[in-house]
Amino acid sequence: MDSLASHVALINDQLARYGVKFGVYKNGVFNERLFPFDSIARVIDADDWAGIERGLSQRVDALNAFLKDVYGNREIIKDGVIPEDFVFSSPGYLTPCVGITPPKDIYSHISGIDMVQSRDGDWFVLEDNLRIPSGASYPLISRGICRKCSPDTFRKNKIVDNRNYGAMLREVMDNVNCGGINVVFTPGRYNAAYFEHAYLAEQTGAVLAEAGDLYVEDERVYYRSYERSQRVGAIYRRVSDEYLDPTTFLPESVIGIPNVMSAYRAGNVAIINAPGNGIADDKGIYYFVPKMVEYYLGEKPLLHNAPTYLPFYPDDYKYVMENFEKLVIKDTAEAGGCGVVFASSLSEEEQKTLRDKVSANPRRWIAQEIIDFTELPVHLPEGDAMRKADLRAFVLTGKETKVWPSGLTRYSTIAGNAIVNSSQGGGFKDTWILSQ
Amino acid sequence: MKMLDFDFSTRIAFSEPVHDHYFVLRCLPRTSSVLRVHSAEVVTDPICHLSKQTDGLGNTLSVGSLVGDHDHFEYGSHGTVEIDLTCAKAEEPHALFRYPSSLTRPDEGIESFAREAFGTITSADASLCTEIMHAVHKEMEYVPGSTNVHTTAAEAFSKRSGVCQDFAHITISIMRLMGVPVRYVSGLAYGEGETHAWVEANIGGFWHGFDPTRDQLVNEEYIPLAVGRDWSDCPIESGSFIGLANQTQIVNMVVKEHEEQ
Repeated sequence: MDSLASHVALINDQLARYGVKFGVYKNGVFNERLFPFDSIARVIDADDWAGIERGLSQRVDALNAFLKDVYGNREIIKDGVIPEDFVFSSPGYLTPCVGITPPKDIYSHISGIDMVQSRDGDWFVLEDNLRIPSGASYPLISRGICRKCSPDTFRKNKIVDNRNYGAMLREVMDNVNCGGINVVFTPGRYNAAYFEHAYLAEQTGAVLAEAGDLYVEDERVYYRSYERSQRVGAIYRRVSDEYLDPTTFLPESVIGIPNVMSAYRAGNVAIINAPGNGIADDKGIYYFVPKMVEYYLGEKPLLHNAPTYLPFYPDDYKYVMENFEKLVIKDTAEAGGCGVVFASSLSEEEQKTLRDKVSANPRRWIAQEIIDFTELPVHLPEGDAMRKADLRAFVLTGKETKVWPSGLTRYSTIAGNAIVNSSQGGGFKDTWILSQ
Repeated sequence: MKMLDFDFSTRIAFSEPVHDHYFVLRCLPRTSSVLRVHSAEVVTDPICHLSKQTDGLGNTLSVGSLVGDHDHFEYGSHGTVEIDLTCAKAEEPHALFRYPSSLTRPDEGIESFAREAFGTITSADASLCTEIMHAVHKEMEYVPGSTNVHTTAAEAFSKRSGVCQDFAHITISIMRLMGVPVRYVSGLAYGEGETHAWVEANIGGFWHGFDPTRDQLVNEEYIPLAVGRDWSDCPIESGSFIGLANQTQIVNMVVKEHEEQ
């Protein structure tokens, strides 16, 4: 580790040259900035990881079953496990996806599950990301550079090789491919994660395509190239649902593939991840994920949610109002780190405003206990310091559901700050899984 | 029972040629327990290949494209249907018809109007729905051009003016507030003119049609083409093309008693 730390300037320099950047929209202006890399990796031992792996696979299998159910027969609602208005009044439930079953019944092929570890060592899931979870390329590319800078570190320590992500992703695409090539479909170079799109296309042997490169004819998708058009069997799209198809979703979208939904509906192309997944990673639905595990799999959930309250239920409402200042209040209508408020950080007046908002529309809000999660050492010019960090694990569903033995550890650059979302500032670390 | 002949078309003229034009049409009568299709055909000009699909709400889609330059696009359908409301079969409504959608979400204006007019009523039945239809018709003025397809129920209600789409959205907004599962219907109604929109409420398992624009219960002279939570789920045409062109649109529509040829 010391050897890596001595190389940190060199490593960050390499990352800059590779263009490992993170784009942020702020006040309507697009800025690209480097995503700072910290050389002190998070280390997870083999036993701990084995438990996480089982828990994550179980969770993602249940979420996939839930998606199939809510766009199909809706049994979980008829059986009273989830109140129907949590599903059907959510903006994440997309009518055009009703009744469509994707190839091999897989909705969430790539799931990014955000977790934190408490000081007692227990892991808690904070958020499921089942639409377009980004970030796998950061630990992937930084590992490659670190291996070059300090090969000894990886020779002497039993660190599971994480460079198989491309192969795992390739298997996920091939598994659902409906005949034709695989493509990675990007909104273009102004997207925050463009670097990652290009990188993953290269790693998986897929073609990187933008709007205009793909077209639909007679319920099939084709890639336009100079010699001849090629049939497309699977699209790993990094364009969000609302921009995916202007004849189905937002008509003003110029970054989509017109009529791609007709090819998808006909079963002629796989869309990775499936459109409509937003219903399963809705902040309100999160509360019900442990119940889904029991309902669909008949198993006890292995991973815990952070203790969560839905003000929608009278008992929870009472608890939330009585313990307001010690809770995190989340707006289910906002994404990422936005709309997450630590009530204790608010002034008395601000607290009252937020309380009124929760009372006015309890369905829109969830409240969580603050988990006092671990701090990890971060190598700073003025010396090592402890910072809050979370872990985004990548769960890939192909023939079976597997967890990539690595992950994106994000830390807050500000001491004591517990919001580590990359669009809110902060940096990242590699995550080492030990093989024994 | 009634046999109806229908014929409608919409012709879009582009001021400059456009290309890479992709579209989804919901142009064919919606088969149900009360509607049988004797004949029906989708027509486009320029002629192009259409793929026929069914969406999750049971609407028939015609999906196609015109890749080369063209300065007009005409679509429509014609045929003969048989409608018999006595054949209605009970149907469990999809739960999404109970909840607000983007174009029908009530605001304070709609909520207080509903509270004042119907706040004391507890039974969500056909007579309540009829009252809501009358109330919307009375409150709203029919003013062509006062709204567009993206206008929400709340916006149209605050202006107290709109067209059949807005009348339908406001009616849906209020009916859902009162606990009635209700859906938007794009379709054709007896007479000549333009395509039409109304609502269907599910009461005791059966779909009942209400037309707040004409202030009448839907009879055997209405031909549904597509249903959804609101207009955005079931537009008759939804298209995307490349080209900077102004569009002008002419709609022709006739629904009349069937005549033997």
